[in-house]
Amino acid sequence: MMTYPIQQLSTVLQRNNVTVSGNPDGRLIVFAHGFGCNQRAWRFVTPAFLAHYKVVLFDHVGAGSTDPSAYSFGKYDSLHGYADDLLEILDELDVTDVVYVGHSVSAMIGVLAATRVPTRFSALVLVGPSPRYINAPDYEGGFEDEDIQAMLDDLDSNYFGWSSTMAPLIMGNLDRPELAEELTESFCSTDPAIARHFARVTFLSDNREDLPLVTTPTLILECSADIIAPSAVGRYVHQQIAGSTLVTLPVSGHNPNLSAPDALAGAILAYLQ
Amino acid sequence: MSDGSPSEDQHGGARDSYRDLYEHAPCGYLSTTVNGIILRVNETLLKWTGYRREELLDQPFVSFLHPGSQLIFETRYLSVLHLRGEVREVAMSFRHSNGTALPMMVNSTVTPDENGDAATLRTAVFDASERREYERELLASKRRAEASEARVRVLQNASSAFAGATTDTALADELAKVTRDAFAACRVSLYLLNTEGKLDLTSGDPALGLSFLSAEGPAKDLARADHAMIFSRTDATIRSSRLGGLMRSARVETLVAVPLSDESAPLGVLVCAFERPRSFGPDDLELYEALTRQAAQVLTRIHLHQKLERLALIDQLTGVASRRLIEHRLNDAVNRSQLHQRPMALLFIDLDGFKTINDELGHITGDSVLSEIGSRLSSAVRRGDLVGRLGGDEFVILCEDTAPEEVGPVIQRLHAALRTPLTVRANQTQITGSIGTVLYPDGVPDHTLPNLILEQADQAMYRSKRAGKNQDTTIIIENTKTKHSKPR
Repeated sequence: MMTYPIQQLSTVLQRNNVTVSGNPDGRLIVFAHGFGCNQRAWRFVTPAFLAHYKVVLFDHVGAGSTDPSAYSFGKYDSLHGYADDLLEILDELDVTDVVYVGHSVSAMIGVLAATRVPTRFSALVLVGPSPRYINAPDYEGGFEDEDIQAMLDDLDSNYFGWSSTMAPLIMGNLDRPELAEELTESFCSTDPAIARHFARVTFLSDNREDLPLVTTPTLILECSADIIAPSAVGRYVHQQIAGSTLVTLPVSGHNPNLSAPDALAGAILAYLQ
Repeated sequence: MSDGSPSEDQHGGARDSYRDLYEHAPCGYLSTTVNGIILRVNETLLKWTGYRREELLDQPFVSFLHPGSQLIFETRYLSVLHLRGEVREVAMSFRHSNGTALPMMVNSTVTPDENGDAATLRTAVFDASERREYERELLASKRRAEASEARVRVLQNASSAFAGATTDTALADELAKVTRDAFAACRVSLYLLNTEGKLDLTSGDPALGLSFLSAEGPAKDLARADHAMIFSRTDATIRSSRLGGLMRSARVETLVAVPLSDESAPLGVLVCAFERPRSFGPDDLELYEALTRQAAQVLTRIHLHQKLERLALIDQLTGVASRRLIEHRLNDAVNRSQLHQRPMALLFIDLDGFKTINDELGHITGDSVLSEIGSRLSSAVRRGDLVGRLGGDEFVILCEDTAPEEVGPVIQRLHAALRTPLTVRANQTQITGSIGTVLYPDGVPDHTLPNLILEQADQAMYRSKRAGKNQDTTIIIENTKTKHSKPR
């Protein structure tokens, strides 16, 4: 993928590893990755957009190869901190008429940003969104409190006795520095404490009240059998965002960006035309 | 078998033995589509998980995981698998057909088709029950140790950060910072009670926007509470209350209010705002309270120190300025006068006959006389003039921005104030004063030191004394010329 440098990379653009590619005169489309990965999650999807769109990718602070020291536990204790970053990126790029594609937790980050500054956005594409993962009275999120605790335990087990911060040290002595990078990236995050915190924020947030505030035209893309964002949640989001379009992709799982990138890109392009 | 090629039977035998290796391998084995739909499973996995083959085939693999592991699988496992082509030794839990959790370690690889696109996912599953149990115990004790170490660190950092604070604001800023870091709070504010009993925002974000904290409202009660309080919008009563509405508009989901108090007197309240629903256990609440307790102790020390400083500036007997404050203010006044060529006067008063009062009526009466004189002098001067006591029965009055014609009337008022019979002991005791004044009508010349001015006023006072007491002498210093008025 050809990327061209942004003149005088600002601190904001550096902080979030912002990369711009595609057609410089095209409509701007931003892809935001979900919990557990980084902008590479979009690598199979973006090729379909490069000819006609100016494609912006970024990493959330704490993910990818962003500087761990930029991570503030206070700021990123809610999705609002991430929404602030997104708005700062768009400010910095000085763009309007933005198409925002957010996967998983980034769908809600987009909702928060678009309700705060609707003028920046012309379309929201929410891929597998869920405003709340935990069941509540009159709401079926798909999970219980103890499931989230079990997930955090699993997360800790997978980091147990092994710290990715050690990885560059272990691998650094080798002649192939790319190995260290690969090892770190294998967990799509740089720091276990950050991964744990991001997991809490992602799965313990409740942004149901923010959905009715969306005024931007919205496409909701759900997969036919997604355990993370079950169809009841897709319907809920659709009901809460007035005028939204709900499309069910004929693929199972929560990661159509990885398992069915062409179907995903096709659905987005069809909506935008 | 003369050509060495395997016979039909041998092919069949090899197939059987490969099938046997597959079905009864010492690990569970399954393949899925890229979407995770199960295509094949081996016997070992079936035996271990308690499912029949047809129950697993054509179903999503993820649906047989425990919910917590489903989250891990979809959010982390799959991204890595697709981007790297393989994943190794990830801990997850499978759901046994009887509902129990089967801890396992999972390895997966992506098998490409002839075009190099992902075709199937192959997964090997290892029983990790024993290992997991041991690991969870270690993990639990590691977490407990880390949590208590973190608490100790927070309190240590707090105590060194607080120790350097010399003002309310500095302490408030430190407390807010320490609390923000300790609890990953989005916003922390500290409100301190002022002398009128109202809360002032001493540190933090006024954009918290919670008007209920501004002054009179429930905040006063919060400051007077004896324990930390949590308000969360997950609580239906809070959600529908006025506070709930305010929290929503300020984007706050959970609010923690921790009182600061010194023994029994309330000092203020620490308010922590969280932008997502948060819950806090007894250890957390204890940490909140330990932090505010530490801060309250430091705050009390700061206030005591400030009070002592204030005391040193005020003459305890008469309530007028102390020698220290006079020197300080005279210094400033001289600088201003030199800078702007503004007129300035310093008056020196020594009481006549005070020694007799002290000797005849005793020191206690003498002290009362000094106190009464102090307040009389204060009411005789102009607004903004400073009355002070140097010690004994010596008083000074510093008059900044004094036009020469204004000095005379002040002196006359002072004489009158002194002459009025004393109320002390209601006898006929009367007191007068010898007054010496130094006046700089064009401002104090450069290089003239404050001490010299004090000395000049003192000399002028001595002239009055020598001229028979109850007199006044004014030395006027104009540029380089010096004029003396005669003692009256």
